[in-house]
Amino acid sequence: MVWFHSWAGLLSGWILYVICVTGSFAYVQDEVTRWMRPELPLPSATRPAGDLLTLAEDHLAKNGADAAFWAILFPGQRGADDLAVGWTPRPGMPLAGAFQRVILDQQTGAPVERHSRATGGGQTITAMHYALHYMSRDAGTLVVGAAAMLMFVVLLAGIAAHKKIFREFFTFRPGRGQQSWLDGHTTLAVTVTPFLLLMTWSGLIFSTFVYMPAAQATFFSDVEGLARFQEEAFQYVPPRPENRFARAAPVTSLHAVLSRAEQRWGEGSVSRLRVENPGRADAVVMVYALQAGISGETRLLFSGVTGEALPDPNSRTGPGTFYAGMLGLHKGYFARGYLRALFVLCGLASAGLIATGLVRWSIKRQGPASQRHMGHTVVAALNSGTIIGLPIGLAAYFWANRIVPPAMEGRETWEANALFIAWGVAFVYAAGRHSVRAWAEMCVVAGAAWGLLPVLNALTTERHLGVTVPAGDWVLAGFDLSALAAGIFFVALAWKLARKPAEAV
Amino acid sequence: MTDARYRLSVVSRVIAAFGGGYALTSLLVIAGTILFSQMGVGGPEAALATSLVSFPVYAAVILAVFQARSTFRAWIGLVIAALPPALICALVQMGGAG
Repeated sequence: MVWFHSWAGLLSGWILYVICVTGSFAYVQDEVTRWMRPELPLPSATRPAGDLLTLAEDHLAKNGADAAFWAILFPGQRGADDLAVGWTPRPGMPLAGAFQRVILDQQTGAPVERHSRATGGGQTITAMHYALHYMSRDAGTLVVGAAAMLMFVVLLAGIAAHKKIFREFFTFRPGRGQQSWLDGHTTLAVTVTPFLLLMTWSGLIFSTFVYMPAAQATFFSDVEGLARFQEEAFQYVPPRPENRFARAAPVTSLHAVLSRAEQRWGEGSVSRLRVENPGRADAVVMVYALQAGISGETRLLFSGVTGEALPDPNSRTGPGTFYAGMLGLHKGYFARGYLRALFVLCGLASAGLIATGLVRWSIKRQGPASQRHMGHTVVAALNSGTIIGLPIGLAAYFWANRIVPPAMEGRETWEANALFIAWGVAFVYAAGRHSVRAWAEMCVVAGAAWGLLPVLNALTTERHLGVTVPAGDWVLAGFDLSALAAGIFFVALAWKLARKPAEAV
Repeated sequence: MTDARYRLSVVSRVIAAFGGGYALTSLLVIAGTILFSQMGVGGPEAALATSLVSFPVYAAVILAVFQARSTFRAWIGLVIAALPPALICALVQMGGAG
C-alpha cells in the first residue's frame, strides 16, 4: 500500500494539485468575476423587495406583455448587486424566442446600461477545475475523471498505509527535513481526508455515465430508453404548464406572492421570481430563496392566476436525491459567509496535502548529486514548476486583467494566455536552475506577484482598498486582502526555504 | 526475481487493477441493476443507484489487486469475483428478460 500510495500519488499528484487549487477558486467564482470587472459600480443601498418588485413588474408589463416567462432578479445574490428583469417573447412577437435581459435603476426603474471589460472571470479558472484548458471539454473531463479516480484510490491506500495515522497526527517534528515534510503531510491528511473523499466521489458523480456507462449503455441505449431513464431515475419534472396557449387571465398579485414567501423565509430573503406563461390561465409563479438548500435551490410554487400555493412537482427518487445531494455538497452553493471560506480553506489545504506528498517523494529518493537518476531531476522540476508555478500563473491572470487594454479585441483569451505563459516560464526556470534554491526564488516571485496585486489595482482602477474598505464592499476588498495574504504566505515560505541547508528542500 | 520479470509483473498488476478492475466493476453494475430490478426497483432507478456506487467499488477492487500476494493470485481473484455477476447476466440473457 505504501508502494502504491507513493507511485500512484506521484503520477496523479501534479494534475490533482491543479484541480484542487482551481477548485478552491471555483468557490469564489462570482466574487473573482466581480473583481475582474472593475467598471461595475459599488453596491448601493438596496430597497425592500416589494418596492423593487413594483419597478420590475411595470417594466415587464410594458415590454414583455406576451412572453413565455418573466424573471425578476433581486439584488443580493453573489456577484449581482443589480435589480434585473428577463423575459422571452412568444412566437409571433418581435424578437420571439430570444431571451431579453434588462438591468433597472433601483430608484427610478429606468433601464441601465452596464459596460465593463471583456473577461473570462472566475469561470475560466472554474473550467480548468473540471475540463482543464487548451483542449476539448470532453477530453478534459476524461483526464480530470481519471485523475479523480486515482485520487480516490490513493486516498484509501494512504489511509491503509498509515494505520496509526491518528497517533501520527499528534506528532509534529519541525525543522527535521524529510521527517517534517512527512509530519506536515500527515497533519494535512487527517484534516482534509474526509473533505477530499467526499469531493472525489461527488466529483466523479458529476459525469457518472461518462465514466461508468455500463448500466445506461446496456439497458437504455436508444434515444427513447435514455429519455425514460432521465425522467424516471431523476424524476425531475420542470413545472412547465401543459398548454402554452391557454386563455388569457390577469397575473395574480406578485406582491402577495412575494410577501407570503418573505413570511416563510424572512424579509429580504428572496433571490428571484419566475412567472411561467404570464397572463394566461395556466400561469405558475416560482419564488426562489437566497439561501439554497444542499441539493439545489429552495423554492415555493404558486398559481399565477389565483395566487394559491401549489405542490412542488419535483419529487426525486432515493438515488436521485443522493445524486443531487452529492452534487450540491460538491458545489457548495448553500454555503455562505464563513462556511464558504471554510470550503476554500479545505480546498487549499488539500492542495497543500498533495504538494507535501510530492515534495516528500522527491526528498526521500534524493541521493548525492552524482548518483541522481534523470527521473528524480524531472520530478523535482515538475514539483517546483507546478506547486509554485501555478500560483505565479494565476497571479499573472489577474495582472493581465488589469494591464491588457480594456478595449482590446479578444482580451479575455490573452488573460488566460498570460496564465499559461507565466506558468510555462516558471517551468523552464525550474528545469534549468538545477538547484533547490529555485524553490525559494520562485516563492519570492509568487509573493511579489500576489502581494503587489492590490497595488496594481490601486494604480489602474478606482476599485482599490482605499475605496472599497470605506464603502464596505467586502467582495472587492476581500479579493485584495486575500491576494495580500497570499503574497505574505509565499514571501514567508521563501524566507523559510532560503534559510534551510540545500539538501533539506 | 530478475529486473525484467519484476517490471513485467508490475505492468501486469497495473493492467489487472485498472483494466480488469474496470471490467469487473462494469459487470457488477449491470448484474446489480438486474438484481435490483428483479426485487421490484424501477429499472432507471436501479441503474442510477448501481452507477453511483460503482466508484467506491472500483476503488476497492483496485486496492484489492494491489494488496494481493502475487500478480497471478490477483488475476485469479478477479476472474472468481466476475463469475457470480456473469452468471446473473447469462441467466437473464437465456431467460430473455432484459
